[in-house]
Amino acid sequence: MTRVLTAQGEVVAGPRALPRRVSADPETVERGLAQLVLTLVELLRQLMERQALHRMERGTLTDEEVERLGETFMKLAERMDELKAEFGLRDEDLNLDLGPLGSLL
Amino acid sequence: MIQLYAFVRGLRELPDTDLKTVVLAHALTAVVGPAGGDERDDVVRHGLLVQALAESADAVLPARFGERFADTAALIAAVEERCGELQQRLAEVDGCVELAVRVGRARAEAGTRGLDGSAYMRARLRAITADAAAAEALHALLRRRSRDTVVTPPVASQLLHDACYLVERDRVDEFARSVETYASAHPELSLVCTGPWAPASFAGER
Repeated sequence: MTRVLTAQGEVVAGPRALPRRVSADPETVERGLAQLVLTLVELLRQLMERQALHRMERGTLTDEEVERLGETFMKLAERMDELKAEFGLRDEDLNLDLGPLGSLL
Repeated sequence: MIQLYAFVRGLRELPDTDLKTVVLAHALTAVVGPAGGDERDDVVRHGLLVQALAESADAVLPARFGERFADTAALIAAVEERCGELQQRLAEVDGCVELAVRVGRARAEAGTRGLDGSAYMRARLRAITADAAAAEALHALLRRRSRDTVVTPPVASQLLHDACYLVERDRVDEFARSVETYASAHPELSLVCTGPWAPASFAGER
């Protein structure tokens, strides 16, 4: 039962998040494992990027370091897009349902 | 075996004949019923009864699903020392409901392909700073229209803002209008406001 008072657009809330058990069905196990691994990689990518952005904001990175980190994150994001496409996953699939704690991402 | 549904104040009627009230120390009133199972239907029934209680009482503190006691005496013994604190919390939510607000991005961020590393980092910083400012502005607006708030900190980037607001019943329409006005001024955001709910987010220790 959802009572919506007002809404605009589509808010991602995690209903498509990775289930708590990965299916052992041979046909879907590969995709399920890829989804789990990519979710963890995406979490680490986002955390590292945020940390780098905070350091950049505080001025504790040299121009060369910013350039190198930026290129790394950009390439990682592009590679993640390719892997998601390869396994037929969308951004909202890369998540973990943590029960009462909400979703991971 | 009995199950605890909620603590209430100013209850006008019980929403189900299976439920009964138990008066504890400090005149604290608990609503209990026979303990059910642990199936999905039992959880839904619990939620619906708590919601119904919220609609027929001045104040309600929902209990988590599964709070079971051997009998009334066991319930009394378990909450004896917290009755005063629970009465205080009931006073805090008196006349209020919970509204939930979730905000995300409606439009994809500008593409970063073709940028050099520094430009990419600057673009990401601009985007994150703008997200934080949008969430902060909305929260500041809604905080003024609510008695209390609980914000779920964003772990990563899917939701910009995820919060519950304790809103007086006669200010719910005003609150919803504020959200609507903010949303129409920010088409770059996707946003949903749900409720009114029983104030579950404001019932426990925070």
